[in-house]
Amino acid sequence: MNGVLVLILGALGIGLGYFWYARRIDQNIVQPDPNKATPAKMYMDGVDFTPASRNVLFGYQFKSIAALGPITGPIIAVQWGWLPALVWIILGTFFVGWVQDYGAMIMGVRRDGDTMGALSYKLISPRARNILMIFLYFYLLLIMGAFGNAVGKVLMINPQVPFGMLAVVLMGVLAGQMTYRWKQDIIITTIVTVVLTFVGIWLGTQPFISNIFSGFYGLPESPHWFLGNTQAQVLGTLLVIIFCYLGSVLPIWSFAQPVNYVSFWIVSIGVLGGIIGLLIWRPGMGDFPVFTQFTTASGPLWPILFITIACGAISGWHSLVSTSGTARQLEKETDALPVGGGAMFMEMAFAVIAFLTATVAFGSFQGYQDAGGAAKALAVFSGGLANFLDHIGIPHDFGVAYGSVFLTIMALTIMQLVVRFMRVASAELVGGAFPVMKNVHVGTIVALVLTLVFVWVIPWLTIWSAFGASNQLMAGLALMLIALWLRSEGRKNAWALYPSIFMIVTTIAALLYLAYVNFFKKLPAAETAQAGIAAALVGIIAIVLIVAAGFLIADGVKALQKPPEAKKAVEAA
Amino acid sequence: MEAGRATPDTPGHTRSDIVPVLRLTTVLLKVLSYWIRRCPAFIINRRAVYVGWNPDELDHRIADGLGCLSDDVAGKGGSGDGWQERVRAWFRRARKVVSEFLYGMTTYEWVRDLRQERAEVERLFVLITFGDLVGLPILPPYYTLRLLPYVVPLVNSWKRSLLRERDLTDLASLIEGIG
Repeated sequence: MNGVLVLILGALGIGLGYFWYARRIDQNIVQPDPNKATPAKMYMDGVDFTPASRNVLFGYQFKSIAALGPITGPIIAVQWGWLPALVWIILGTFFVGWVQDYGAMIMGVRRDGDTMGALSYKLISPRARNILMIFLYFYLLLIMGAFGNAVGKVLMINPQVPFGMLAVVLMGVLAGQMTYRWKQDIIITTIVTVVLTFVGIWLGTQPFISNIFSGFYGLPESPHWFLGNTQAQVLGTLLVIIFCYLGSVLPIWSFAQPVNYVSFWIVSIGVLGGIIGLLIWRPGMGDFPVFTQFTTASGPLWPILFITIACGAISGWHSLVSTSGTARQLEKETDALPVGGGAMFMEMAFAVIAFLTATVAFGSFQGYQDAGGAAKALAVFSGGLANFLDHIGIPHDFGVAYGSVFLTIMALTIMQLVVRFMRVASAELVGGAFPVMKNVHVGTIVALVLTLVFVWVIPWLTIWSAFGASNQLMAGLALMLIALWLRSEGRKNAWALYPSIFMIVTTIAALLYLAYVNFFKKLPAAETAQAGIAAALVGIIAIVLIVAAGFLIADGVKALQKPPEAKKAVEAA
Repeated sequence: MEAGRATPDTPGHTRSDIVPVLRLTTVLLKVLSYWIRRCPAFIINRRAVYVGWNPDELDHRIADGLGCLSDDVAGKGGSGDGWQERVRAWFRRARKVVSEFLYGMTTYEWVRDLRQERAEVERLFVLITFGDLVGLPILPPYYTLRLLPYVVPLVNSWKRSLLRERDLTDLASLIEGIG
């Protein structure tokens, strides 16, 4: 199979999915009315509820949902062979992914801009909102562990990467100063900071700087320090933690916001360069197998593949962004499909490109495994991107460092915002009982210590599976809510209900598998305290999520059995 | 120097070759800077503008920003006089879509953050001065009544915003890029 053929197949999936299936559902079932006032117009406050153009919202929604998730999942999933991964990316988006994003958005619009928490409360049960909070908490904790692990223990230990990462941070801070304090031209600010960042990434690849970090990490044979982590891994993780601490406690305009802005250009230029390189090169998959085996190191194809590729096919997080963010800014109901559905299909294209970096960039399955395989998915992506960039004349060493900085900064920009969120969440949830948790620094440090436990103790693939499971459970909940809402309006809901059943059954099966493997296989066989703690932690998380999902299903089935609101209204009349 | 004659510095190139290229580059730069500076409500003449505590001024800026986005001048097709007009209209539409998409991916988030910050302080200010409206008398009415004319336009959205039920999922849109 040729890489360009895969791109064409992806484009066909998008064309059929968006222009045929999604449009039919939009026009025949949901029937949006362009003249109906949306919450953005009815409750316009210039802050949360503000109408904006659908093109602006499309860019906003896409940036909000597409990042490291759609890159990582496909690269891990090709361990089952390229066909299952590609089929799930395309069919998952076709039948499930866009349904959730679009459904959540239009539901938010029709229900006065309510968020997922409020919708769960009203449509399922008061308990459902608390269950959503449990999913959310574990989701954020696991995402910190997963991204922290991938960045701190894999990407940052390359001595050519930390200086590039520091360059992005410093240029981000400079961008904030130039824009807000010195009131400089935004074009000049962008050009200066982006160019200097590239210079910084290049300097990081030069021996006189990379040798400093080699010494700092104790390379080439970095000694083991503790919990099975080397000196390089411990120090790399601590650099990540320091970054997240600054991102959480500093004013958002001076750090998080401008760093995100500069990194956006660095990432976009990299993606664009990679696509151009791919189109020039047009490589084939070589001996990359169509299908390897049913059970791999991560587990059996069903259900584990379906939680491994979460973002890129379907992700529960999108429903939260769609309701609390975008639904409150839609100018017309008819904008929900291009914004919600369109952004999801575009994310699918992003996932296909990530899939190609694993399958065609190395020319063989052995090449993929030599680059790190599923266990080092982000290293595979940076290596693959460097191979694509080779074909537009970018030196390979620089390409690898650039790809690694690109991924590191993508992860860190998310992690700093997640820590910020966790700090606020802990202050809200336990601040009454423990007033000390209201302190900005204490809340941040607690979140970061929990992150360090996850990063240092739990293996990457295990934590990614647990993260995927919590994400997909949220997706199942969101789809169930959409099905309930459609029923309450007296509309056909099979297009949301069946995907919901599929996602919930698959995710619970995955969690049962995770609990079984960790409690009955890994825990008894654990030879170190670290392995035992990791198995117990993941097993406990899996059990908590299963119990929470059990309550949710029970409440959801009860809600489904109630007569729909529309029917009740007719009967009352 | 006459147009069309080769210069000593650039053998083989004529002034008439270079001028259109320079003009095109200048026009492109102008167009680019115009797109970027006109959209964010708080960036005026390509620089961040602080509008202090004058809500009218900020509303005016925001209205300008929103106006430029909902402006549909470029979104409509031509008058239908021939294919050239249709092609031009198509390019205008494409330019509008791309510029708005880029704006949505870059500085739109900044504008939202600034609005959030302004709204937080404003909510607090109105709560302190007009808490009576929601059953929280904080300042004596003598002083608050003098502020009434300034606050009347804000009251509806302030009450709705203050009394709206919130939970942690309200903050989800602040974390972008998880996937």
